[in-house]
Amino acid sequence: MARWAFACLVALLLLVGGCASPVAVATFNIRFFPEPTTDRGLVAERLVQTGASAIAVQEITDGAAFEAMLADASSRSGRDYRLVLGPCLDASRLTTGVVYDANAWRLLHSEHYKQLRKGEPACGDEMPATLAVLDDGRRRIALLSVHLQPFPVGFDRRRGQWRRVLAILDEVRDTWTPDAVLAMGDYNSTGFTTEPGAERPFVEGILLDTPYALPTRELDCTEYWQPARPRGPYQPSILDHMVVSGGQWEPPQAIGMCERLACEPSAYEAMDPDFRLVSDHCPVVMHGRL
Amino acid sequence: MGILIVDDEQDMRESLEEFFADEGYEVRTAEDGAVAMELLDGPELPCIVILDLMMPVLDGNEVIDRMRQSERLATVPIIVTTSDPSRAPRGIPLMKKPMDLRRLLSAVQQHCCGRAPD
Repeated sequence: MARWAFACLVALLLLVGGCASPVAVATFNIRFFPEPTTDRGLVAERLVQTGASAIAVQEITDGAAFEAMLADASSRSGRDYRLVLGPCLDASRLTTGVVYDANAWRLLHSEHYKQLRKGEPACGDEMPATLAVLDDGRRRIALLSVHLQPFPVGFDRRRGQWRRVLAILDEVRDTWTPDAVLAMGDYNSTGFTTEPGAERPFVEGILLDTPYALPTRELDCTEYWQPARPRGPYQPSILDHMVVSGGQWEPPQAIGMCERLACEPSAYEAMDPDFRLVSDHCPVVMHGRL
Repeated sequence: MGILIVDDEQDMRESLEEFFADEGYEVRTAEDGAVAMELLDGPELPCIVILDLMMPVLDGNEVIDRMRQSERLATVPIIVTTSDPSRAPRGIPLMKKPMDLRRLLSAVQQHCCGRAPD
């Protein structure tokens, strides 16, 4: 009897006391969505396969097409995917966004950042960022979807953008007091493991003495590219990252094509079909508790 | 005419020309927009134009403008290949550079019928 009463008490405490409960987040750069060769049904399937209720997305070129793909993803999954579409689509033809499951979250606030460095023109040649603050009545999470300046010429710009991303996260933590705040996306940090050599020390250095962790630092790859055209092998690289404060998180995983290829180089003839039909990037998923 | 490839990078033009020829397509190439417009003024129209944006003499955007203004050329399919979509006009399909041949082939197959390779 005492054991049963204790179990009930624990269950009650967990319920009332806001015990950490599971959550999954993801980031996914869906190359120029939709390209003429994009298989939109397969993209929907890949989004569903993340199992995430909040997903940072990058490289949207057509908001209406993306919404239609999300409706398909919702019908495949029983989720109710909604999109917070980023700004600048008219000007830059490429934007970021945050996808969330309205069955799991209520959108509390969204915000657009038309440039990531102060002094840069709005909707100029830097990709915009998109913030969504989500709440389920017990937990609150803030997601910033980012797409930094491309490799290899943009290292100086990326340094400025990293600083701005962290400053935005600070502001969001102060304003919205979320249980977790994350900046996820394509940081274009090919040099994170190779060239330019100063990029990895910079990224790790800027996070020192901050409340932010980089759980993606140990990933083997998140993207594939083809350095030797036209029939050369495809090489893995690391472009996508998650910067996080708050919550308890397991190590993230790059799934899909990256998982199937085990982050090994691939011969031209053996390349995974997702590269052609979905994206050069892989979804990166992180499970945790809030 | 088959496929018209317009790109100022010689390596890119030659690689694409060789690849699509191997796939059984007739291919013409142009090193800038002005040469492309000369070819488009010829008797045969391409089944698709694969168009770079940043080119000397006449850039990709000017080629698109001129094609849209021409009754004869307005319906010729175009695919813009670029790493900077902010320079691309709306309403034209985009493919991200660096180009992957399989992706490009899939896009071309939506508009062009290749002949059987010799």
